[in-house]
Amino acid sequence: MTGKLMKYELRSMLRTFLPLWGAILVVALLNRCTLQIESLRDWLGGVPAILMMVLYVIAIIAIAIVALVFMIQRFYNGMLKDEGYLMFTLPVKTSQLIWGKCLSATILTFVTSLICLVSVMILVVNNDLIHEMQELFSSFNATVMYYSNGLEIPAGFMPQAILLMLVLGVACIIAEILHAYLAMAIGQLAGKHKAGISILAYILISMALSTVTSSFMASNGFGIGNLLENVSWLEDVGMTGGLWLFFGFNILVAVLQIVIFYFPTNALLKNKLNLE
Amino acid sequence: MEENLIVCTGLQKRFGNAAALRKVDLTVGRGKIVGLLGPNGSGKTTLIKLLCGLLQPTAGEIRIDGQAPGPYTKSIVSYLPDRMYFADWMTANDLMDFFEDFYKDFRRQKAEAMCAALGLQMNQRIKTMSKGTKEKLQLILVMSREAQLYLLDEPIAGVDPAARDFILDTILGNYNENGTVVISTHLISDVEKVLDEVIFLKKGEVVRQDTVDHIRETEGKSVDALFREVFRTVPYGEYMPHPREWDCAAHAPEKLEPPARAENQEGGDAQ
Amino acid sequence: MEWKILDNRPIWAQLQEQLTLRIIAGTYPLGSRLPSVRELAAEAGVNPNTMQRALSSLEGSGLVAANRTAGRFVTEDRERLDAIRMEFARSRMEEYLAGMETLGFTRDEAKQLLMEEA
Repeated sequence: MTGKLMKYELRSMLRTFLPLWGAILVVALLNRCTLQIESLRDWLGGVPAILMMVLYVIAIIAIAIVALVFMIQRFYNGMLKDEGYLMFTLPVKTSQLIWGKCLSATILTFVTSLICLVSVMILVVNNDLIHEMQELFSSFNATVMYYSNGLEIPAGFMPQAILLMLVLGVACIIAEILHAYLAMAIGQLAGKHKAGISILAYILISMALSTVTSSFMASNGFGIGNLLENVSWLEDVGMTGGLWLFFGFNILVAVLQIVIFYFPTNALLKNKLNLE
Repeated sequence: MEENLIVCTGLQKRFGNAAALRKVDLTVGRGKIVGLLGPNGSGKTTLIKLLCGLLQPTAGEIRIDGQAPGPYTKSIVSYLPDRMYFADWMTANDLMDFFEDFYKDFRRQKAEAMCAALGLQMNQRIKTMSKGTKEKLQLILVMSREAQLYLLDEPIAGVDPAARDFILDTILGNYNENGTVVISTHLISDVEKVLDEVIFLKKGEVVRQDTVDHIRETEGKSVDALFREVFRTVPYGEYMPHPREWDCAAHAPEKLEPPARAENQEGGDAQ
Repeated sequence: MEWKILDNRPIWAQLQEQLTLRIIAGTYPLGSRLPSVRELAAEAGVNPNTMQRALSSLEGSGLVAANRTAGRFVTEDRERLDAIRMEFARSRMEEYLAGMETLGFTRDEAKQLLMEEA
């Protein structure tokens, strides 16, 4: 059932986002042309080329804003306003409704980020850059070796690092989406000013969470600064071990947030739903 | 299969301090068309929302086919809310896909035939439809399910007589005969002919549950007339142009005094 | 013939009466098959259960017979129909006379007036 819910959710999202994604890629491609081809770059005193670049920046900002607004709106309008009368009378569990929305929004955010990354690559990747990246990587290697008293970056390190980064990224996206959902689930309890109270709830949750997190981090020495200062522990666990430890911890924090946000949201929508 | 389709015991619903339902004990059988009657604010919509699982009771319990409201009861309940619940980017066709995906008892052919009879284009976006067409489409979707229980919240409020006939004919012509239809309304004379049973709700309580024919036999009047009597509120005015027999004796004050408005008016003028 | 439901009496009784009238008038001829409950209910805009009750009571009066497989049929008994027709006629005449009485006509005067009109 969650799959079916996601099918309709993604369909409604793709209607808006497919054209946006396409537009970003096309604008990136056009910019590449104006950057690459001298006659185009200097055409009309270079004004069109500059405008094209401005357009690209605007498009990137716009898609980020639209993605955010869409994520909020699909939940607020789709669950807590009139459409809620349809969704909450479907023969599915409340949890399935929440995950249907949340996972769809996660996919949307993830793909949008990916498209933005690809567009940057379209814009700038050439042989020089690849060469520079390789140099940067080896200097990173050297830096690590310097700090870690001769530990080498083992084979298979980078793929693992990328994988862990992706997992962490997705977990953070899910946590942030559920954060917004919880705020809206609290906001809908109010008879009036539902939107205002949702925003207030979002801010209060953020503040509470950052207070807890920062005090925990400070007391346990898990901050990034601490990690870099005391790299001696890397010798004990090795580079790969350190990688897993670092990302593992952050993923755990994200999962913890997901748990903290999800269960109250589910309980509120199940027991305290108050559609207008 | 439980003998009684709906059983409510000691059902209460409060919104903050306001009680929408006080203490409702109710049993409704199968294969009936039931009118849920009461003036605005008597708790009709609250009761229906509780039955379809959009609200949770403050106290008491609900059983539909023996189960508390949840995914199972939602799969056998077909609900028509008092508003449009579509995402308006969808077409009629998209909606049929949606209903077909989520409700096993949805009869698509029937729904399409009804749309065709109305001249409704399947690929037309909801956004471009008139309010009346949207309402009809929503009714068609709801009545194309072979549900055990149809909960129709104010299906004929605010529609013209032709649309009202269409709505009532659609309900009568399409409901599952083994299922029960609950129609909430305050327009009783329009629906009286199609009802088996009526439930009178007054200020969050069931004040009468009876069959239409039994009311007519024992009271010698229509349900509509009985309703007017049960929910009569005696107006008070400085001048009562047509005092009726029934309120002359019991309710008319001995001496009609003009309401004390004079001071307020002066205050208003001074500002 | 229009289906007409008045306020003061049970709906099933009014349906039964109007079904009978239709049979007398030949809308449903002797020996013919009646439409289904659902069709009749839809036509009259009433609840199928109420129509069912009216039809059952027609069966009780012998004007209609149910065949388990093929539905309901109007009786072929012409004498039975004529008797019911006379009953209806008598009650209509009573209504006429009662109405004239409230207007201050005696039975004889009412009869006289009717003869002159016809």
